[in-house]
Amino acid sequence: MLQLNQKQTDALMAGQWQAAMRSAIEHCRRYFQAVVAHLTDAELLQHLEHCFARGRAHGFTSQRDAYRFLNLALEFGWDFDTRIRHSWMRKRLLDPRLATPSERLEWLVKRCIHRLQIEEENLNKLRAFAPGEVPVNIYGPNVREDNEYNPVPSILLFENYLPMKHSRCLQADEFISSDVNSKESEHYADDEEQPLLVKKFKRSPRHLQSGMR
Amino acid sequence: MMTSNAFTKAEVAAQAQSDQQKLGTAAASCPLMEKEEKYRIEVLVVGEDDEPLGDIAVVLRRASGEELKKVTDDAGHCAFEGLDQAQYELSLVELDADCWTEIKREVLLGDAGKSLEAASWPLPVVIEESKEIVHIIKQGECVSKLAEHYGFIPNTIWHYPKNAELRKKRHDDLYILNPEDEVVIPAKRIKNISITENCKTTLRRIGVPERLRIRFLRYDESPRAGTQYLLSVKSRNGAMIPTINGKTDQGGFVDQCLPPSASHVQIILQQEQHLECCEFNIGYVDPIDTFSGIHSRLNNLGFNYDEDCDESNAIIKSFQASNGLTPTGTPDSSLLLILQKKFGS
Repeated sequence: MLQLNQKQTDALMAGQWQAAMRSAIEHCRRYFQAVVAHLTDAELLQHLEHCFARGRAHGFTSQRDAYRFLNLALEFGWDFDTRIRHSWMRKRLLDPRLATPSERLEWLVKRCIHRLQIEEENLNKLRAFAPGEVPVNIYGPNVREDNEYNPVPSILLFENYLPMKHSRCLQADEFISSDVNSKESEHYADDEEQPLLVKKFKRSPRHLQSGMR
Repeated sequence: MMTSNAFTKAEVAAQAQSDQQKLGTAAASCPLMEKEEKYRIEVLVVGEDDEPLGDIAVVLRRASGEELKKVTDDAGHCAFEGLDQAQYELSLVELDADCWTEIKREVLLGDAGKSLEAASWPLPVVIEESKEIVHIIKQGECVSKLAEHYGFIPNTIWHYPKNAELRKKRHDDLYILNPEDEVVIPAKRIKNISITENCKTTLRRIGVPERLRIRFLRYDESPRAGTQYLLSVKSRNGAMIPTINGKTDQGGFVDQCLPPSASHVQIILQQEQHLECCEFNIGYVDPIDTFSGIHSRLNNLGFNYDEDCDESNAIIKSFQASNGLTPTGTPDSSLLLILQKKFGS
């Protein structure tokens, strides 16, 4: 009969955990290289352990759910489920209309994929409609102060077409600014991520002649 | 942000992981050697334009009272798995009885109707009876938005007897209300449909989508027909909505279906020498018999009012003069009539 004492069991568990973390590190480096490139394995491991612990607190204990939660963290930020900006995601993780944590996570992941697809398509449609135009100073419409659903307009700083996490279309509300509501503002952040807004831009005759794109 | 393709690849890799094994362990549940045959029921929810509707709660109840709950994904779809052969009741619990109807039912053929794992039926929960609510209108709200939010058809709310006084006050226009107006939302009536295992049902949500019509005119008031446009929508509930390409019709109208929760629209018109961008807050026009209602209509018609300059009288005189009225500078019934006709509401 095979008998294992506590020390042997602990050693076995530790070995399995280390193997799981190595796989998770590989997963991060393979699918989210731009996000984790600047992290050493030790730093990344710290993030992973923290992330998986938060996943367990949400009820995500299976490997599949843990990895799905990890994907969301890598895409939207390590602490996406605590940030006010992503409060809509937290609400979905706690949605009482779905019975199990797995179901809530699956619904949220599908919703995120859908949103990313639409966001990309919208950007492509805008580029096709207005080729060669680079929105520089963009404001939304005049808003009323008592409207919690339309916060102070966002200023587009620049657009980077590269598919890297921190190089997407950055909007001024991601930086602390006295001109816009703080990103921690409940009124602003209790809203899902907003699409790109364009106020007005003109194409000069010079561009038309040269066919610049 | 990653492209959707990159995130999808990561999701595929995650799905390849075990949903039985815990992270960091080698143990997993023993698969059952023989499983009893189970079945599934699929549900598709669409709007009146037959487009799928996500985020709709669906409940399946069995004879003993226990319930399974699902929420439709963005394809309008959800499925109940692991069901026995039996009669069930299906309901869209967040929607009033008149607000949805079954339009199609079909049998799932072959393995499409089969399921592996047995469903886990939680104990029934006592649900509070639905009650009347008094909703105080905020700027940007109208009955259509309330109907989508509370799960009704707009007319069910608007024609509720307790809203009779409001209907009279607002000239029976459910789209133009004033902030602080009180709208009584009736108690919701729940409807169930009977359904058996191994089938797919398609349900239609009535009252969604709404229609947006904006007319573009030149300075000589001729319509800007055949103009290419790109329409982007922002929704007050944060939903991501696809941008729409289109062309104005012969009357110069942009005519598109939008969710009732749409709060802001941006339309980029393609001109010969430049692109022109117009932005609109949906539902922000006040009733015509209010100061703000008159000026927002005048603004949209090109008679721009600047609050800082207090040119109210001059703007009204200008509109009166250009429409054959005596330029008194004071709003009267003749002005309101013409303004309503030109603006459209």
